[in-house]
Amino acid sequence: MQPQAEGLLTETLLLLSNLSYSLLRQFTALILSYLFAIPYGIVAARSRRAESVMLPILDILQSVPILGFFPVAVLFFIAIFGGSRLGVELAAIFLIFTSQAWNLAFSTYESVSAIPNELFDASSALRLGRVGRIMKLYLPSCVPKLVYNGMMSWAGGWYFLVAAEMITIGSEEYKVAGIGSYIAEATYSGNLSHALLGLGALIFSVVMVDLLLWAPLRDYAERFRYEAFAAQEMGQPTFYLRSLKWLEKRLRRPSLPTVRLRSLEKTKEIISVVYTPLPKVKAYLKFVRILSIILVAALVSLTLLYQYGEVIKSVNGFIKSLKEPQFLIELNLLPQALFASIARLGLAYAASLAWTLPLAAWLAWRARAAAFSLLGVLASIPATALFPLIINVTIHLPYGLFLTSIILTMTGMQWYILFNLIGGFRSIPSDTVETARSFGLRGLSLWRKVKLPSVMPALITGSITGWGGGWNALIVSEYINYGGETYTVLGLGSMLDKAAYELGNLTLLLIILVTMTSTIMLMNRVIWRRAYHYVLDRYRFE
Amino acid sequence: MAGLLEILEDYQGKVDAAKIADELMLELDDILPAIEAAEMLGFIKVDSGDLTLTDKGKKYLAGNSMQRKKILNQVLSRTGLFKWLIEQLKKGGNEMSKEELITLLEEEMPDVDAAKMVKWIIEWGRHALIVRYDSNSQTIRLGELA
Amino acid sequence: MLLLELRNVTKSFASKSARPFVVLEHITMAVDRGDFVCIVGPSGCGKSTLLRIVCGLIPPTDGQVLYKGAEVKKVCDEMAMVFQSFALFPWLTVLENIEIGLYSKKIPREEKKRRALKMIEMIGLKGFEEAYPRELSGGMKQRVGLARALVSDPTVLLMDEPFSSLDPLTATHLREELVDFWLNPNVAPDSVIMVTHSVEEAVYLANRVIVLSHRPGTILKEVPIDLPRPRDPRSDKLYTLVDQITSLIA
Repeated sequence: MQPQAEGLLTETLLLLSNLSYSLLRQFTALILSYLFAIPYGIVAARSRRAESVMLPILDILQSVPILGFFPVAVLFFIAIFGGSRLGVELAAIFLIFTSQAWNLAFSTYESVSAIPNELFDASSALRLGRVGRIMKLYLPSCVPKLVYNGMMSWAGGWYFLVAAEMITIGSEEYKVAGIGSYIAEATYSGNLSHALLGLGALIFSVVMVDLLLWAPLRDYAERFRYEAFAAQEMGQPTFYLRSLKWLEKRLRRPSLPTVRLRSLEKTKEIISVVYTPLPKVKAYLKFVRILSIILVAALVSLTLLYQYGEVIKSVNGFIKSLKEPQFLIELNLLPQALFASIARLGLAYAASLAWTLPLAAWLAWRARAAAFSLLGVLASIPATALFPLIINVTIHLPYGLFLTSIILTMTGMQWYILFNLIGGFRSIPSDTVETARSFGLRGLSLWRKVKLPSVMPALITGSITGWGGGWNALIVSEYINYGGETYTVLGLGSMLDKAAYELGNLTLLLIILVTMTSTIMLMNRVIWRRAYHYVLDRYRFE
Repeated sequence: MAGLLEILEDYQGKVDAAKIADELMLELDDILPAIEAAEMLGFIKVDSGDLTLTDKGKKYLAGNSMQRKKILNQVLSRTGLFKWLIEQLKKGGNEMSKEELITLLEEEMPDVDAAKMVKWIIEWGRHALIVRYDSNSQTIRLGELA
Repeated sequence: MLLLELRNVTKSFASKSARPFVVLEHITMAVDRGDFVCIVGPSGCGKSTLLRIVCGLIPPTDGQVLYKGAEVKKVCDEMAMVFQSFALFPWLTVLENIEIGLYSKKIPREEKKRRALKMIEMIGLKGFEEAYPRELSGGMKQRVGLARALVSDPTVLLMDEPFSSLDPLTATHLREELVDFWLNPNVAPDSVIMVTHSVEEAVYLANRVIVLSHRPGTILKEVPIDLPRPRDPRSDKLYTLVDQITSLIA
């Protein structure tokens, strides 16, 4: 084979293998997130005592900026698993997991809590039993929220995975092979065509997964919507359904979706026949359950014992790190860094609003289903994958670094705001607007009196998530590795990265993380929650 | 609507509409839809505020639920709207999507709220076993007695 | 042997203050085959709680509930309940919602479907088998609720204010259908216990009305209704009874 063709082949194989690694991590994390979230949410929703403990824990966990978690997670997993390769892999998967699991747990909790009381009574009266209740009541009630949040979590997961893959290319021992590292390496070594190819492959996989996994799930989830939601127009069938129908007409085959569901029925039947436990089997299962608990406990204690030596080492390291001179210097900068980051976030927020608000208003009623699918795909492309390319351009402009950090931060905020706003505008009942129009309200006053107040709740929800995304984005936008050099701006994000990758000071890292988390929680409580309740009281649609 | 007919039967087949509304503690407007439906189906006659049960109405009340549906089916299948609908369905392989029906209606009857009309068609079509409707795939199919 | 007996049933809930919250006190009553019992009383008197205790959903704090002579310890499988807000599963079709009434019965799938379809025809929901609750009117939803309860052929049918979420016209119609069912020996349960806040409804439907007092609810009086069926909802005798009972509650 010619050397050129050979090179192309190896390059393609490299690209594809990197992509598959990333996809594998994504799927593993998603499955783990669901496995955690569903039981957690159900238990929290059904037991008041559990609720009082489990919810605050979720709250705190949700407020920790995920990328801030990453260095801690890497060190933690490496400490436990010795070999750095496995440790970093697990850290990456854990990272994605933390970006999805808490959100999904909340969704489960909200869904199960929303089940009307009489439905519980009916389930008991129908003698559904514990399993029956889970299968026929709890799980179905969660489907809409779990599907929609799953979609968003999936997209979010890409964002963090790519970020994590990029962060680690700096360090030889922590490198992971993935699509993010592929794109970053290609950009920084000046190989723009490869970078664009990698980006294209990423976009392609995003679209494919959406088409093959999420779109059918969305259609399936429609029937699980409660009356309250379905009272609104069911809306046009999605792009996916429409294209299927078009295909059907061309091929003259029976409905494809129904065929799919019919085979699902068959599989369910088979599973229920095979897995209906006989009395002997039931006793056996109990034994297995106890045995597995013992095994896991043994495993954990063995690992801890083995790592006892490591633990001693890290405690010494902890004390040592307190004594490092850099530690105090950095610590002094903390308040300034905090304010700088908040200011940066504020600017990025304002900039995001400036383009999302008008676009959302314009799109909400006019656009057709295809436009939303397109928007969904655009939003799913992890902004972090675009970072190398963006940085390439903006870093050379005047005020380049400042601009870069703002733009990069925006990418973490704007989509949340945009989609919440679109949802908000769409939920304004059309008769309200028409009534207002009939009273002579137009243009600016229509906006001020009707449209703006109606989207307030959505705006606030979007802002809360947007700021959450923004905090995460800070970690990758205030500390930039480019062309062999490191550019930083003053802020908590850069402080964190410095502590993790330059100083290796775990204590400093944890202090910064705690500062960030408490700031986020404080802002949530003092600003956002109050605003949300205020707005809900005044501007509700019933 | 069946409730209205039953009340009429209690009053030996003739009563003032306002009286029924009073008894049920409703406004006249609230029972108007039932009155209109009953009149359209030929089960009652309306004459200056008085409602009279027709023979057809009496026959309807006398039947059990299946017989009532058959009567409903006979009455509605003869109306222009449902005759047209059945024809259209048969042309398209005995089924059509909700969207298609809305589009067709918009062409045939441009000054009518097509979406609302389709909702009404689906509801009464189901009652009379003229159509079936699957809301997951939004498909309308020919019913049992079409 | 009586079908259902309540002996000195009391129900109280733990509350934040030292004293428990007593909802029902010293309820002693019996229901036998052929009884259509309506329980009336002021709001908050514990009527719905009483119904749930009968069913086995809630245990009594004191006293006994005996079904066919045996104490009711868990949800009784020969009873079925109809709820005020219908309590249908939003993600199941009409057919599936009715089939789930047979969930705890060990019957093959085909048989469940067959019975549910038969029930659908009897209750007048033919044509709506594949419809979801959100596509149905209130009256139709309650029909599904009723069908779901009746499909398991219960000995005792329990109804918790089944018509109070419906408009008067639909409620009238469904009441008539209920009476038709009750008078049809092929489908009727052995007895019906219904909770309602409408005294007219109670007198029209029941052959015995039990009047509860304010909280804590005790039995003020049991009023037998001897009117022959089919009953005239506008007869004088009916109105007299209604007045009698209403004055007891006030």
